[in-house]
Amino acid sequence: MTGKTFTVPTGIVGPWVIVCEGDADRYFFQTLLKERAIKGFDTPFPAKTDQGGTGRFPDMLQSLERHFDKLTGGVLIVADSKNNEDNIFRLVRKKIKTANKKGGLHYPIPTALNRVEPATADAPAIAIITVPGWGGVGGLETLCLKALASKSPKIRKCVEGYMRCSGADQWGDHETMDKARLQTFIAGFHKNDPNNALKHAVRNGLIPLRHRYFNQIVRFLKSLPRTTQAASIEKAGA
Amino acid sequence: MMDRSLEGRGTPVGYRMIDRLKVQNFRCFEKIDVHPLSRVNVVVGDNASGKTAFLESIFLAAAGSPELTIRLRVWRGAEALQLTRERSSYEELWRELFYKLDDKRTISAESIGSMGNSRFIEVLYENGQVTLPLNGEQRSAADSPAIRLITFRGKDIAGHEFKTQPEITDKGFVLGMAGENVPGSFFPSTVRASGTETARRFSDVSKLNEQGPLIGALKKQFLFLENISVEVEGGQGLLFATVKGTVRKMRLGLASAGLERLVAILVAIQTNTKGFVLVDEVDSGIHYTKLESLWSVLRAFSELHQTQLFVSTHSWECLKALLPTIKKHESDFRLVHCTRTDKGCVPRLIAGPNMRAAIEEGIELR
Repeated sequence: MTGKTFTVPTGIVGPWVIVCEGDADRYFFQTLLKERAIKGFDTPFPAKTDQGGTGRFPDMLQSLERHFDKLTGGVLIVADSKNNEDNIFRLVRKKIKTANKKGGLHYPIPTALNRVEPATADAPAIAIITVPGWGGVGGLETLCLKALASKSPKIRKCVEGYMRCSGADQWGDHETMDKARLQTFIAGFHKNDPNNALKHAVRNGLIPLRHRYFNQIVRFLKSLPRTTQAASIEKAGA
Repeated sequence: MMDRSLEGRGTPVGYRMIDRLKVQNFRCFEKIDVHPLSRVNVVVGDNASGKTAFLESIFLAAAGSPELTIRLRVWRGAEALQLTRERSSYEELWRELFYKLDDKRTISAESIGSMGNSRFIEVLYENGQVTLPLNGEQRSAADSPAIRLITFRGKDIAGHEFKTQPEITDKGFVLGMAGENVPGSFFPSTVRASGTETARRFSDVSKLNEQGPLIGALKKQFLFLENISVEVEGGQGLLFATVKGTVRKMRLGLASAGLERLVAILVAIQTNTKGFVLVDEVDSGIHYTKLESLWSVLRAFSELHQTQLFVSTHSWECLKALLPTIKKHESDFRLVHCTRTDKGCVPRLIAGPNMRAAIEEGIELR
């Protein structure tokens, strides 16, 4: 087995579990849920700290079967929007189908972003959101960058200058460019370790999680019903 | 409970003596129907969730007899039998087999194999009982001189019907036969495997000169081990180990209790072809560094000898050690997760690929 793994397995309490791409996403949601006092979500993924991306979604979904009875809310899948959230939505739908095929499961297949697809007889409900989502492009870093920049606009200008000088502002991929911006941004706040990752910035309070930029996600999380066996909700976060 | 979600998924491979298990009113199970089982079935769950009862129910379905149920009683820690010719004593003997200890119910257990072969057994007090008149002073209704005889009836794997009623006679306890059984062995967690039984089985293997893979697998795990042989001590055949650096052979259990248990399990797998082996707490006595190879050799032996395995564990370390093996052989495995509910214990099957994913993702399976 490669990568760091938990020596103690993670239990699932429910009623919701968040399936996300990487370590930073997990820390972000753990801290956001705590900061905004939102209860009822487990954030066990990813277990392997050196592996992320949507490629692990099928395994993550398959691994939950033993806990389906506790997931009376459902499974919330969070992916980066990248340059087009509709493409990501289609990609995540494929990952759910892969989990169903490989694991003999019957997860419902969502028909739209930001909407809960009701549970089937054999599997919990599923919702897919992207970050920043709701039409935005980029990734989790995009939201964090906006929140951080609004606190320190002078540094934001300097970071943009660096992006121009290095040519990184021409990369074209919004998520990657915002990752570069954010990493540059937070490096200056970590004297002891300028390589410090986003997850540490989230955990040590550098990212202002009460900022309005995160309100849309918070509203969506709060709107999710605790029981979805026979219910669906309409674009709760919109 | 029949798990509909398992229908058609990651089809189990190879021959399975027991593909489906149906049980009613036995131990903590009111009614269960589980399938498809696989070559290696790992039973997990909280204390008192029915793990051991699940193993016992397989034994009952595939090889159940009056004699077996008495053995189960002893394995569950009951004291040696003090049978008297009293009705209460006789009924006490069987009562704990029944769901909620209610012996007005009928216990039924059926095992259906992947080739369609099946065995069925019922345990009940029939209406219009045969009674056994006994001498003695009647002290209460329960001590009535008329004993209700319990009935074991069903259909064996050859398709022959059987019926037997254990009796207490002047010559002792007559248990009776219950048709042709599926070959099987049970290793309870609290009872040491019989040394003479293991030696007898090993001898059978050795006579066919088929002990090589067994000893080879053990030597890889237990580096101090050079060889295993049957020797006579005190008039009994027992297994002895040749240990590196020691001239004299020593009893296997003296060398290592874990080794002794593992040999007993592997020899049972090898000699129960087209049958099953049940192991309660499979990692008991095995050092954590040996767990990966334990799983590997259990699966390989199970495939080689067409013997189905049902093993229980409480240990995450043990499940985690399964990862290298299950990654290569997902379809060979099933997780049987037992939970206790208001309606008794419920076993639920998790397919091998999802079991593997949970281990890999660090999600609780027990």
